[in-house]
Amino acid sequence: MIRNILNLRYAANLDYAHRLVEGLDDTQANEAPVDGMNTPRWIIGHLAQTADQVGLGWVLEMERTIPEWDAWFDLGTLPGHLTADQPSLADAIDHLDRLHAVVSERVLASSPAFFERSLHDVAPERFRKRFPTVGNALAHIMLSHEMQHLGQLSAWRRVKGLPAV
Amino acid sequence: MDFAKEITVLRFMQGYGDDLLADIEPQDMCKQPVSGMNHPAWIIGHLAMAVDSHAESVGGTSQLITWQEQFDYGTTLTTDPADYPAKPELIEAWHAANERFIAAVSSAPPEALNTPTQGPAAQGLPTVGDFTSFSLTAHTALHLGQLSAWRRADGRQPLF
Repeated sequence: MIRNILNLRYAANLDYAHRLVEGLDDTQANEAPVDGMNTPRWIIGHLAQTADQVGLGWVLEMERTIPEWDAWFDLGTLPGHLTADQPSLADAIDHLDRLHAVVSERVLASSPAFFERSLHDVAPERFRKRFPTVGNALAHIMLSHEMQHLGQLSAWRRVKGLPAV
Repeated sequence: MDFAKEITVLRFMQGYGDDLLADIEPQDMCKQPVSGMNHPAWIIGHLAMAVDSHAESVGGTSQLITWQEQFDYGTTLTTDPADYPAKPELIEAWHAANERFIAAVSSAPPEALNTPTQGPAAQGLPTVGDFTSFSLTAHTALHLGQLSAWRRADGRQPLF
């Protein structure tokens, strides 16, 4: 059951992400309408980076695909520090699509017992304490973490006077 | 249907929400740093009302029916604190509603969870069980993300 719920909601998150950024140009993608707000480019890049670092690396015990993105999109990095040669919003959404597909495929192929396993040691201790099993961690990463940042993007749209989606 | 993993996430998100709220002065709970933003009083009232309302569909009893007029999706915000419950009342109501929801979900009969969802949510969340999973995780996270953005727009220290 957990597999179906995770994938149903995970797919809905991705659809929502696409609707939130659809039609944004490069200027908007990099705009913080108020100092300190995260930009669309950083938010989607952070979600892709998290799917790679936490989803593939920490939880699913798979080889990471974009570890270099940690320098630009990990927790603590700043949207204002991104430069033109680093991944664009379009790059970020493409990688988010790809990583969603990888995570979903792995989750659907896993046995129920897999979700009850303890996280392996690659995951930092503070993360393992909060989310002790693979299932706990996936529920957070696939459902709430993504939606929390999409909530920031929803607020960004309101500040910009763009319609709700 | 076992919601233990989603319940872990809800408890984590509640703690995150408490952190986001901790340094917001009571008089700022209805502040809109930028026009159109949902403010903390509405967000917390909305989250409390939402899980309270949802608890009914899994066998619980709603205790915040009167809040729906003020906090339901699509309601209009005001910036007058006198129009809203005080900060401690909002937080207490949210925590209590989460606990009632968790209790109702944990003892919900399978037939209730397999019931088709009613209303607009049915399109993406076909059963009450699907909707319950959404309420325990994504819905709370979405609005706490708005609260995180509110903090940044208000010039406060980002927490996440």
